[in-house]
Amino acid sequence: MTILNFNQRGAIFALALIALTAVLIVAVVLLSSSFNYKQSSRYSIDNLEATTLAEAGIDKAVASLNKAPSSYNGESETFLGHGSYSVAITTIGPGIKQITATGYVPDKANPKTKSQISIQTSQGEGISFSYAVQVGNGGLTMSNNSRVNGSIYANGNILMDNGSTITGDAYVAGGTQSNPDQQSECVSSNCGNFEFGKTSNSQLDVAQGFKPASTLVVNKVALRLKKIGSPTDVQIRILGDNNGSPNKNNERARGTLYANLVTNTYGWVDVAFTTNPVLTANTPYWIVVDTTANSSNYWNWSTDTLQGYTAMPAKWSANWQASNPVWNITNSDLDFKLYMGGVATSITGANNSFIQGNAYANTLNSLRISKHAYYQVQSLLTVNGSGCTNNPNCHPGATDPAPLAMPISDANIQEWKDSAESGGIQNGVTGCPLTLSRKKYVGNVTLTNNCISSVDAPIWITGNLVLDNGSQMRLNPSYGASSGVVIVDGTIKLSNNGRMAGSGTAGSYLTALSTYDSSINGNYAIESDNGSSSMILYAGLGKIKLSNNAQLKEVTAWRIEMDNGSTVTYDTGLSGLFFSSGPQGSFTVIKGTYQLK
Amino acid sequence: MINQKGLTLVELIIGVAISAVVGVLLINLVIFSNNIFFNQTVKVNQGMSLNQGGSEITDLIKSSAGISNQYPPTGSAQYTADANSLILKLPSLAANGGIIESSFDYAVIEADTQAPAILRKRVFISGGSSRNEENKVLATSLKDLVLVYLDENNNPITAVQASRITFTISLYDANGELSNSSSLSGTVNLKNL
Repeated sequence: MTILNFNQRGAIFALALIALTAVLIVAVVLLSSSFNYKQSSRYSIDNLEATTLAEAGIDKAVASLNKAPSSYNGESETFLGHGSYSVAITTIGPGIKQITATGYVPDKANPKTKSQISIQTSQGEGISFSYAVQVGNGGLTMSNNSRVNGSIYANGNILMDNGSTITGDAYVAGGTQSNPDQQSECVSSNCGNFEFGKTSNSQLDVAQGFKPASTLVVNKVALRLKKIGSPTDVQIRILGDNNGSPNKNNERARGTLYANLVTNTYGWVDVAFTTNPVLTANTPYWIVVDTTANSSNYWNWSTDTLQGYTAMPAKWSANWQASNPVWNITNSDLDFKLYMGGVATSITGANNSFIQGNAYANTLNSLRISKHAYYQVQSLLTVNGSGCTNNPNCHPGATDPAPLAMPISDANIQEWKDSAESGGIQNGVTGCPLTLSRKKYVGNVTLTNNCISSVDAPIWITGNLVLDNGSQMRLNPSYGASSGVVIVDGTIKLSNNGRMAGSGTAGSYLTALSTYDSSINGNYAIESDNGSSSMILYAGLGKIKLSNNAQLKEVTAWRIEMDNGSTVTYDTGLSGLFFSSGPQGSFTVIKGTYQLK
Repeated sequence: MINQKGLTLVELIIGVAISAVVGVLLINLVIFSNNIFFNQTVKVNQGMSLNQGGSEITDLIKSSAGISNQYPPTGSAQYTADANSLILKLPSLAANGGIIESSFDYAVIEADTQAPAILRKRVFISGGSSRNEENKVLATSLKDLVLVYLDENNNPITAVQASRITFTISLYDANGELSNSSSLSGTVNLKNL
């Protein structure tokens, strides 16, 4: 007989309890993970905001540097939106600053997230003087204990005498013919414009054909170019021919077109080749420029629409290195000049002239050389203490060094002239002006009797410039570490402690630049003597004479004559010198330096 | 035992019916909560993967100096850039954290060839770089990674010529008849071009 127990409860309650517990656990787990998700999303958003704040800090810093380069030193904490940013500025080279910006959310003291970005900026136009003395085809003469503390690169002969000394290396390049072997240049009414390096799958690689008249080594080409924006350096090649188009498998020579030598108006720019192979007369070759697409930073090449150069056409390709590159005709010639070499050059010494580093030239004569000698022909050498018979420091059969292009192009000079003229035109300068503002000065400028004038560079003097009897041109202190230039169409004479000086900040120089062409009548473009010191002199077409204990930092000219104890002492900072077009020269971000930390 | 009483049939039927209804309700409740658990857990996991993966890809693209056609950059290709594989050139880092000029590390982001549901990030360094090598899982339920290479005017272009990239990460999870999808898309400029 079944006995019923009325104290038994139903199982439903227990089941319900289990089910509800399970639901509760699910709810708790879901709430927990939802909270984590919310936290993760919040962190992602905060992190993105911190990065955006850091980028805002970078933008603010670049704008502030351009507005007040000498007074902006970063900022501790600036609040913006949901957070704040700080900016640190570090000078890491002449005209180069590193900007480090850190974004914080919500603030620097108690950040939930932070993000740091660093970039580098450069100011103004950069020019690199890599040698204490750089000489063009006119060559260098050193006599009477003149001295170069540093290295020399010359495209013409070096003649040393009477105790003259070079403490570094001396290079003399294989000589370049004075006139171009081949050239095409438009006249104004027939000048066109060939745009390249802008659009992908289009005009990226450009080639101009030529046939040399002589069988000689090729030394350099000059191209008439302008740039839009700030394209990077590009490679220039000499290629052989393949059925009327460039032969990608037959590279003969290569050089770099330095973008800083090209401006936004047309000008001739030299490109020297790293090796100088022999080209055969009446054989087709191609000058090929290789670019990549950039819609805001690209190139223009001046063209002759009449196609006056009949030897070879010009062509373009989307990719000259494609397996089967397609070359298209341009229907106009590209402006170019081709210079051949083959001129034997030398370093010749006498009366205890001394090269303390290495010497490189086709011919070395009568020299004392401390380290190594590289040559094809030699006589009367003392290398590392002995003659060249069985001397391991003598290297006969060495290839001639390649010619070196001048560090400042015609286009650079024209840009400075344009910048000066945009400040106004003034007829003549009288007396002793306290300030020479950025202008074009028509006529001669003569400062004498300890006149000291502050210069807002660049200035352009159409006549001659004389600084005499302790007179000085000094770059305005507001230029900071930037440098400036005084351009003179006529001659420059610096005598009796007449000189130019930088802003007072280390690494700042005021360069004296003469565009005078000494080949016209043989006059000196620049004469410097009697204590003229700490300057950079430049005369790309002219002769410079240094005498009577003149003390310079760097000298570049078509021809240089050093005498009577004159000394050039190279400063390492000159390898990266930054010129400003004005006290508020533009800082721009150096591509490839963006770092997100 | 006159007071002993049994359940009538009606009472029994009513009791069983009530139990059945309550049981069904409870089972539904458990199933329903299980579905919610799956959906919400998957959504949360996918969301967190997208947050993390999207952030890492964005930072890599920003820091990149360009797209490489392949890795290694020369010779036989181990990885090839296309619409589903991203190969970024990253400036190599010196010991002091600065950039080493003309030297590059490489980041490869693509679905794992052995387990296609895994989105993997690999970083290969050059000899002198102080950057850390990585082999990291960014997501475990990848449906696909789609990359569009663009020029500065937002026109599609080949990978090596790109100056900006649009990426879309799609994730997908399924459990029986239950499934969930999420995706994240972004367009990022290469800052070091």
